[in-house]
Amino acid sequence: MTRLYGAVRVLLILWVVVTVVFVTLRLTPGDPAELLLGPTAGRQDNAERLAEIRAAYGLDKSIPVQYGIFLGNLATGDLGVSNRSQRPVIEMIGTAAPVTIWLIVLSVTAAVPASILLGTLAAERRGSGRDATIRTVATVFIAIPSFWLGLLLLNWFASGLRWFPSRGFEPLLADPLAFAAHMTLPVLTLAIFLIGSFTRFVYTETADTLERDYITVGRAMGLSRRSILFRFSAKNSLTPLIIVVGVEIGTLIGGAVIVEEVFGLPGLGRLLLAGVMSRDYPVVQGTVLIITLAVILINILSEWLYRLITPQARA
Amino acid sequence: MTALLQIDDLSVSFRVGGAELHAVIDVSLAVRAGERVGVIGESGSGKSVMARSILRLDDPRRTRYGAGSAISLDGQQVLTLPDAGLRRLRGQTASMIFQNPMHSLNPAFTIGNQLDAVLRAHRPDSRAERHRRILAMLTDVDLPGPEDLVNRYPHELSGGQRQRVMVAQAVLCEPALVIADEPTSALDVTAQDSVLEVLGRLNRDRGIAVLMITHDMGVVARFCEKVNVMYGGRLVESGSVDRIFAAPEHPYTVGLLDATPNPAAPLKDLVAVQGTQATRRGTVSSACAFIDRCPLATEVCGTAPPLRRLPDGHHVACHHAGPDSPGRA
Ligand SMILES: Nc1ncnc2c1ncn2[C@@H]1O[C@H](COP(=O)(O)OP(=O)(O)O)[C@@H](O)[C@H]1O
Ligand SMILES: [Mg+2]
Repeated sequence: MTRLYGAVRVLLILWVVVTVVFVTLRLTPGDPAELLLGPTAGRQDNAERLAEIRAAYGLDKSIPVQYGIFLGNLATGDLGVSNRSQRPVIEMIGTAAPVTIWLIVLSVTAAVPASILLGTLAAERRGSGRDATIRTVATVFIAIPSFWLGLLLLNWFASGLRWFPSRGFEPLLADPLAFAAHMTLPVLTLAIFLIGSFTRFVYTETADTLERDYITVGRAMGLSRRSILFRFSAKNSLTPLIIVVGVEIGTLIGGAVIVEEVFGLPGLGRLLLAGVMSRDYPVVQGTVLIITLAVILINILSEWLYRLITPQARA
Repeated sequence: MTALLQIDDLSVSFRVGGAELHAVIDVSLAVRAGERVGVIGESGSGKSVMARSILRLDDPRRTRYGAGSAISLDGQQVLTLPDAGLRRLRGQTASMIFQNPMHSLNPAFTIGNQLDAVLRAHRPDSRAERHRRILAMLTDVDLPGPEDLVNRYPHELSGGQRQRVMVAQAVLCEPALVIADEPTSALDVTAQDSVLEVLGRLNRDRGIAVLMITHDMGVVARFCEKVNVMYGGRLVESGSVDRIFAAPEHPYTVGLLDATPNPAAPLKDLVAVQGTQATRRGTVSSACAFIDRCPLATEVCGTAPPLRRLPDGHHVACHHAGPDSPGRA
């Protein structure tokens, strides 16, 4: 029963999101057919071409009819075909998604241990210089705009020192070294923001945990500082961090969009931005739908994981 | 022969908002191997701070030990020991049980996991050996079904069960001394009995000395051979339990015993002695700490009485105590 209710709720959210996207796209100035034809679109002799294009993509029909067709196709799992590339949208998403997934997974994987280390070291000596330094760094990391940091890193390490390529992507399996070279700076850019936000979270949690009686008990029993901080205490703050990652996944994807744009990574973010620029309706609608679905699923997953590893929540 | 635990002139103060809070003042006491020694006093008298000092558990950045203070534990100088040596003492030479078993266990780990962490911190034993040892220890503290218990999380256990887990943890590495800081205060009567019973058995069978901290004269009467009475951060009386119950010397101890007509019936708190302790922030008054609440107070009490040894070996810090007390002129 609750499961059915959950499924209905997910479908409802998806429907609202795609509808909002559908409507806003059509309210946004800019005719996809004109944009497709380019600067010559306004010429008299192109009127026929425009009409052809509109007919080909169903843009000549009334908006309610377009909406009906769109929902009908969605129901059969058909996301449509790109106005630009003629490729099926689902296929374009399939090519772009791994790039975004890699970017997010690697950033989170780098940020979580770094944040636990920093947050715990700060919380261990509350009010000390170490604490102040770490928390200032965390605040700065959050405050730095990702696109600016990305450009800065590009300038130093890609254009200046030439340690890394400045743009593009290489699949891991095709060329692992090139993959790493292309991903390093984007992952660093996104991870820095995440380290700032996760460190603050770990700090608050750990400061609270370290006040607990069981920490004193652990010390009284002769546990080492390392095992108290990074085993005994860390599990207590790592667990809620899973929820934070789940909740922040939307922010993360937003960050990924910016980072992909700066570093020319062909991920979902770029696909979405390019789609918006060219008023490629099916691409935008399809990408937003898939991203929304991913956000919902990740939230469910993180909550499930949290339950799995938190004994009290399992009851 | 030196005692297992020898505390000499221990003074402990904390910096609290610019002023110095004198939690413990010039306390000396000893625990010999296998002894059951009590420390009693009302809330705020400095019992817990004294107890934590034995393992130097307080935050070194805020805690100051007096210049002449010394704590010798199994021949080691606790207050000057390097951290690594201190860590080896903790849990192995002396361990501690705390008041609230609901908070003493980490909610994120199973019972078995937490006990195992202690063993691993001190012993090179194999996994199987450690497991066997943990099961045996849980059985020894009267916890049934240890194979099942090790996989449980703290929230699945009752307060009494948790406190017995804490006892098992405390004796896991066969320490010579267990410091029990009000181990029964948070428990119901049945659970109190079982914890005292288990501690008593471990003391008899394995010769583990117990320093029992309590505010309950009933616990002292049932469990201890010797007792130290603390008041206002100081030791005011110490001696054998029999002697104290038969003929208490310090007016504060007299008040405590008057408030406990039947020592076998546990008492919730020592509010029965009228009045409250003087604050110990800033400079401590040079008068006797008990002066404001004392029915015997006279002019001599304007200077704090030192702890004196009476002819029968009993100790008391009161001008008016003892057969030839200066206050009784
Ligand atoms: N960590 C601490 N920081 C500051 N003051 C403390 C600290 N621990 C205890 N005190 C103070 O020291 C005094 C003695 O406390 P405590 O030893 O806990 O008393 P008891 O255990 O006898 O009830 C109290 O006034 C208490 O507020
Ligand atoms: Mg106490």
